[in-house]
Amino acid sequence: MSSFWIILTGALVAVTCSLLGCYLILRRMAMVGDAISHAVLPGIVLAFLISGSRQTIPMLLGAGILGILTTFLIEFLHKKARLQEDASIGVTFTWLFALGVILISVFANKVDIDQECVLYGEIAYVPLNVWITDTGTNLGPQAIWIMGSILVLVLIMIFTSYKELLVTTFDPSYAAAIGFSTALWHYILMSMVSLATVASFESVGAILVVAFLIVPAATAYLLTDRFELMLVLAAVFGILSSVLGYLLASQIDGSIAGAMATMTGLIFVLAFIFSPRYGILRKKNEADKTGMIIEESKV
Amino acid sequence: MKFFEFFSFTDPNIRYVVVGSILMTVCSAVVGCFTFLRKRALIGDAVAHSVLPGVCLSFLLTGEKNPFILLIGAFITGGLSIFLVEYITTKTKLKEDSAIGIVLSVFFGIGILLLTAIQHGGNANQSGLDSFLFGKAASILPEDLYSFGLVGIILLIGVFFFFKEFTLISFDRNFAEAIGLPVKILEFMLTSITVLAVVTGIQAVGVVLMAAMLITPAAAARYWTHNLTIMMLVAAMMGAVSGIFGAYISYLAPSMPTGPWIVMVISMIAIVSFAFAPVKGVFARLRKQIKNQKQITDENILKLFFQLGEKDQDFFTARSITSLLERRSMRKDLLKNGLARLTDQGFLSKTKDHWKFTEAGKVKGQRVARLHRLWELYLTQYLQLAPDHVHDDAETIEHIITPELEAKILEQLKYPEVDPHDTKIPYKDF
Amino acid sequence: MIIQVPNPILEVHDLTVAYHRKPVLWGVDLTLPAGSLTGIIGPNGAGKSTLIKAIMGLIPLSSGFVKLFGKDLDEVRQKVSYVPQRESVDWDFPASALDVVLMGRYSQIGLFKRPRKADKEVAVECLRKVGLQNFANRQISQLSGGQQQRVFLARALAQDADIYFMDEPFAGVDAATEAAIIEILRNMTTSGKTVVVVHHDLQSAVTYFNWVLLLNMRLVASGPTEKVFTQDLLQETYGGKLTVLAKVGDLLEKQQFPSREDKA
Repeated sequence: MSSFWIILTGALVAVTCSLLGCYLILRRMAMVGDAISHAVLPGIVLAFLISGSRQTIPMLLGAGILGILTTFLIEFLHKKARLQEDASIGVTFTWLFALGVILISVFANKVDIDQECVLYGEIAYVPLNVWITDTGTNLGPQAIWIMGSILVLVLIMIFTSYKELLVTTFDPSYAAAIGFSTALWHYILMSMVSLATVASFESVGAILVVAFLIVPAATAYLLTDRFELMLVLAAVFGILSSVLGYLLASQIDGSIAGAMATMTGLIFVLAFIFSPRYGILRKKNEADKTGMIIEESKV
Repeated sequence: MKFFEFFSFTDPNIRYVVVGSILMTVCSAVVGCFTFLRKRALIGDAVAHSVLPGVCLSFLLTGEKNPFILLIGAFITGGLSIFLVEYITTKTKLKEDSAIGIVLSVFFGIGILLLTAIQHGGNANQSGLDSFLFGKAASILPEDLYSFGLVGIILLIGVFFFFKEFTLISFDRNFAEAIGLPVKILEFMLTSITVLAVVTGIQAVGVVLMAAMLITPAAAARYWTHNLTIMMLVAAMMGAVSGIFGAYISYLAPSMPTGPWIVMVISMIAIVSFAFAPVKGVFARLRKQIKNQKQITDENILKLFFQLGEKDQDFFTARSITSLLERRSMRKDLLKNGLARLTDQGFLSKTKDHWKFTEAGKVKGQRVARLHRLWELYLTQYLQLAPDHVHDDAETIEHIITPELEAKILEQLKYPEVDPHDTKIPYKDF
Repeated sequence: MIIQVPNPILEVHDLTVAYHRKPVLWGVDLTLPAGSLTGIIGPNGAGKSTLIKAIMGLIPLSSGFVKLFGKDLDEVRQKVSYVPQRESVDWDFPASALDVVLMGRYSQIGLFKRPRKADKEVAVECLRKVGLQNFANRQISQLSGGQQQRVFLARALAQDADIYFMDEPFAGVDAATEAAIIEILRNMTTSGKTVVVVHHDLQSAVTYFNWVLLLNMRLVASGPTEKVFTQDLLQETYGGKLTVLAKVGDLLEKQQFPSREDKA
């Protein structure tokens, strides 16, 4: 049963992050996602210190605030202090992550998180931390409920605001011209990334969050030209990586999160080589393209 | 006192640790300047993370923690990561940021997988490998220092001899190519040096935060100078300070990871630089804006005195705040401050609640009024603006025109007599 | 020579736009008549794109205001459409031609609602108008430059606006496509729409447009094509930058001066 819970947690994280990742990579914000997933750490630790326990709500709140703060800081350094963008990202998240690790090591006796867990999580312990109601019913691991709720939120966002997210991602200046607030959707998306990151953090750690945010979405991007399909494929690859990753980890007795990240990479490599349209083995497609242009000149 | 014990450097172990930490942070700070200028800061992050599987693989293959072998493994996977980022960006429609993210997270994932597998594998030799994650300056041993030191020195010598070439390809790659430099080879060298810098730094800083040592000192140093040589020296100094501090923390609390502390120190230096550096810093810019605002207020007051003087045909009448505000609405507190400043500077003289022009004040007020009218005329003549649309623009531009520009405008307008509103343009011999 | 018209569809008043405090457009005052096919003409770096971006509210104004149909943009957004430069988007985006054209319906559809069948029909019809009916499901990166430009045009048509601003719609387009596009634009204006186009080819401008704005950091001329296309005015537009203007701009940037006193 515990394998099931672990794989299910991995899959929930995978789907949540992969869906958001599709937007991140198309907005060229993959590294901002990376930055946020590191920078939420001090928020988690501070929430822990202030609330004195590992409660979900304060942690989500603390990390959510930090996530938004990160995007503000990056923008501030870039626009107001006129630091080039890549450096703004780099300076901001390394600083905040360092702060988080320092807080953990200084308050080691008060904070029940260790440095390694920050990187690769404790997904193996997920099944142990169950949610038992006042009446004594066992509702299964807490992490499942938390991740599940975040996933539902993400799905609600995508279903209700599909067109707003699509047009602000594809063509921000047109979106602004027809009256869609690009800044608003940017921050909504960043808030969701922060929430997803922090909820995933405990179970899978910073690294797997980044891997799940970027790699399955990138894999899907290589395989399809339709955005809806890209979302679906990214989710499928995420789930696949978490199942295969679990199997690999139990084979060689290593970190489950590390193995899942490895698997996202393996699936990416396969798509990179064999994708019918964009893989490095394509060739005849170039011919299609020329044919198409000739056809066009008749119009 | 631990502080004096440490900073007297009498203990040879402390000396090793200090020298080692400084060397590591200085190397990455110097090389980071090129990384920063080439806008490849985040690639540094990918390299840093990708070093981990290399370290683990070398250990798995040889079964020992020989620093030199670990370095070679780290160098190979670090270099591979740069190659892969470029390969993915050129071969697919994926953009660079995604490629970096993919390489970084997958390599690091593999690294973690191997590391944990090694840890669970029970090889007694492995303890300490995990200090590559967040760094541990205190664990620098003499033999580590030799290998890391050697790499560091090779690297600094490389930078020294190819400084000119590296600078050129960082600033203007096309130009470097045009004058016949072997750009490809130089880029390869620079890339190798970057990887070496990361590899050297990891024992003190750790792979997770190593990117900061490439980016942050360079970014901070950039705020203090425009000169690359000086920028490198400043970055190196900042790196050294954070390195010493890291070593000290490691000495005080051996269980603490040093990387985060080093990064915290260098980040603080950077934040102070962003905020307070002269000219480029945020506060310097704010101060400049406040100064501009004061200059605008002062010049407007002088112009006001001049205009009132024109109207009364007497430039040296003493005027009260009320009479000034009758002609032009201004915020009263700003006006009061401005009057006080101008009196101090000798452009106005004050008697009771009245102020009047001094000779110098009249000359300056006249100049502002003249520039205002000249600019209005310029706009109507050269930009075909309607005379009733030019006033607002002239209100700003009158404060910024230099004497050389004034001469040029006069020449282009052929020393005009009147502005578009038929008001006389006052000249010095007026 | 700046000709002002009564009851203009577009009024730009004392517009100054600055990047990093350096003005790239100075004091533009202009009015456009409804139903015109207007070309914005000028050398590179003259601020042509900046002008329409400023009109569309995409960049902050240092001074002045813009009125469309005598109102602020926010009140009439539905009636205003915009075609950005082709290079401004990533054509590797996973979307089909139809998906992009459908975006033209988004402002009518309303928040949180999805496009309906009727919207799709409009989009298909617009694709037909630009001659791309057979390409509806083609991924946009597999279209040629001219086809991509026509997809953008179709998207603007799908919005069914009354005034259209187009940034370089002829850039990177073959002659046949250019002729096809200008034909569509002409049809639009004969049916009462107003079209404003950023264009940089002088030769074709004479035949394409019935109203022309000559721009070079400032508005040199605005009026009917035959009156504006004079040797003198063209000389003034293309005869290099005004050195004084450029220098003052540099000073504003360097000294970090506000473009308007009250906007400090």
